[in-house]
Amino acid sequence: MISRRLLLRWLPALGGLLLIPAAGEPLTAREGALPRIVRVMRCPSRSAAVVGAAYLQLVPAEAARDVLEQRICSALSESAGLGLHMTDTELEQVFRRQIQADFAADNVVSIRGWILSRTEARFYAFIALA
Amino acid sequence: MLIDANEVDAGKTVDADLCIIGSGAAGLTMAQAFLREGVSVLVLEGGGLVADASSHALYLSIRNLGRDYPQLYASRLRYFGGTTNHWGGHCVPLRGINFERLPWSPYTGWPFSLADLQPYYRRAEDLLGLDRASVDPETVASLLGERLFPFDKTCLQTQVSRYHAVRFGERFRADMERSENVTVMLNANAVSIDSHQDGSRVEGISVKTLEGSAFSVRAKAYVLAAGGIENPRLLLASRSVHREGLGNANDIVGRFFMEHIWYPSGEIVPADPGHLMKLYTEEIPTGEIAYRAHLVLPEEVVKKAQIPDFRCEIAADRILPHGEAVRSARLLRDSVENGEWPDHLGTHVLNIIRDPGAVVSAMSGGHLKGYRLLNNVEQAPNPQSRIALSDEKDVLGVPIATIDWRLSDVDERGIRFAHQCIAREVGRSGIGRMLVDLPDNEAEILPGANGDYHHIGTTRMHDNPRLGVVDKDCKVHGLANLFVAGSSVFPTGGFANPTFTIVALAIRLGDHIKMLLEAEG
Repeated sequence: MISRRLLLRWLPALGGLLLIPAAGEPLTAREGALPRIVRVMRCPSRSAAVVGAAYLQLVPAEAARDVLEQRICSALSESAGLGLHMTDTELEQVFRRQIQADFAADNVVSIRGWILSRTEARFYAFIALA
Repeated sequence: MLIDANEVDAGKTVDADLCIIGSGAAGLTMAQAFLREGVSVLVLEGGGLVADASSHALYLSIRNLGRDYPQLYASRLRYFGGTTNHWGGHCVPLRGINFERLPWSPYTGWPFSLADLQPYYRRAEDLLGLDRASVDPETVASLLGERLFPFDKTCLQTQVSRYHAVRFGERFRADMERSENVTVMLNANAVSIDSHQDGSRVEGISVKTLEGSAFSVRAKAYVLAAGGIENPRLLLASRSVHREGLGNANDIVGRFFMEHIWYPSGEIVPADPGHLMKLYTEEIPTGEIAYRAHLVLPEEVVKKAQIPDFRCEIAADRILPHGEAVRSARLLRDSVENGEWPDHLGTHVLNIIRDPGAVVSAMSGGHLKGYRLLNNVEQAPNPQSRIALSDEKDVLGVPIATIDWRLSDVDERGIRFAHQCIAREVGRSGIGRMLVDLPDNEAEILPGANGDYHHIGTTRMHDNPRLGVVDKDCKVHGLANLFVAGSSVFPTGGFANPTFTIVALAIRLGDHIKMLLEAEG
């Protein structure tokens, strides 16, 4: 069981996720959207994996990369306008907008007391399953 | 003038037009209002000019029957100036919603509105030296060159308070000493309020000193301004005619004891730890006053969620570097401040040179780890939460008070809801993420919650005598000439620290009593 304290150690590292400057690299068609977002966001993988594992303990039904990818990309397509030919900058903006939209819509999840956007929690879980 | 009750002849009756029991924020505000008026005023203060153990011991005898109330003994002071002698100076008015009768919350509602009290808040600002300075968050932030959290104001708001810790005893002592019509009598303990045989009016106050003297005071009007515990205690203990105590025909006196629930829980981890939101984490002085911002829920959100009012203070959680370099730097700093030459100077300098970054960080307060939320919230009115009397008596022969402080489910629900709102806004605005650190076990309501040393509601105001002890003019129901001042008359307490409202209400009561005494001739 991952404790609240342990998450307190890892979450500050993820706080930086929201501050990373856009990379601005062109789209490569062979990449799936989510692995690209992982690359674009340059999220500290160890921290993300800890938080992601905690999410999967809470929602074991989502403990598969294809399930997570489908749900995340579906949310991004529906509300944030995810497109195939987006640049990395646009992709990053779409992802950030979705996190904001999750919070605004109360689409959040509490992981050991930490309130995270559903999309970002799934995103960390996706990294955890890498 | 100032006199000592020990110099009054035992058995004597001291006459005045108005007798005020207590010289704290309420009592001295009223006394100040009567300076140079054609009315003789006598203020009875149980303590002396400075703190004294034997006098304060009378406050220590209270018995706690309910949930833990840490350091109750330190929550009030028993000498000239009363509890303002350790007041933090936090000046903030109640909000409009705090005066409303809220259908989902029994016993809420004042007999008047915020608009009715606004003119008295203005005068309270003048008395407290606040200079009517703006509390608009944008204006204050601009004035101080600070930033505000970019929250959606329809979800979460910044509320700015002013701070000016006026010590009423120090501030008004010279006025009282010079006054020809206002007398402050020190060491004068009111032990009972004596009513006429028909029970319709007060005829006098029985006074005792710790040195053993006893005498009485006779006045046209009386104001009980001794605090949220002593006010009901004295009413309940005054049983010579009304066996249930004064103003207590409907068993309301002492009930509805409320606090501002102080419950630290929750932490915001900022995405940008490099910038401290200083306006929220410390009082920033400018001139005579200081400002600090808090987070509050909009009134409409509180209404929609049907919860008590909510505010949280924010404290910076910093990581302070330590190690040899920091220890050496501190030692050198202390040596310089004390004018001493340190031993092993060379070693200390070398230590500092080895890790100058740690020294700079430590000396500038360390680096920001997060923001802790110190919730300071309204308690819903609860008749089971109460001050009563025990069978024991203190050294003056007055029954000792008991306190049974009780919270209810709605108090906890309010904090939980507010945390969710903050967490959402923190995430939505990109500030960072929040830990909602509330207990999962709901068997005990807010375990570890403390009060904020604000004693509220025990002689509550209501036009209906079955629901209140005093009417809208702060007059005790059923007694023609007895009034109550202080936070004990608040029917609801909001989240606002009470002193500013206590002062505003005391000014209002002063106007009312002046009018009555003038009419009486």
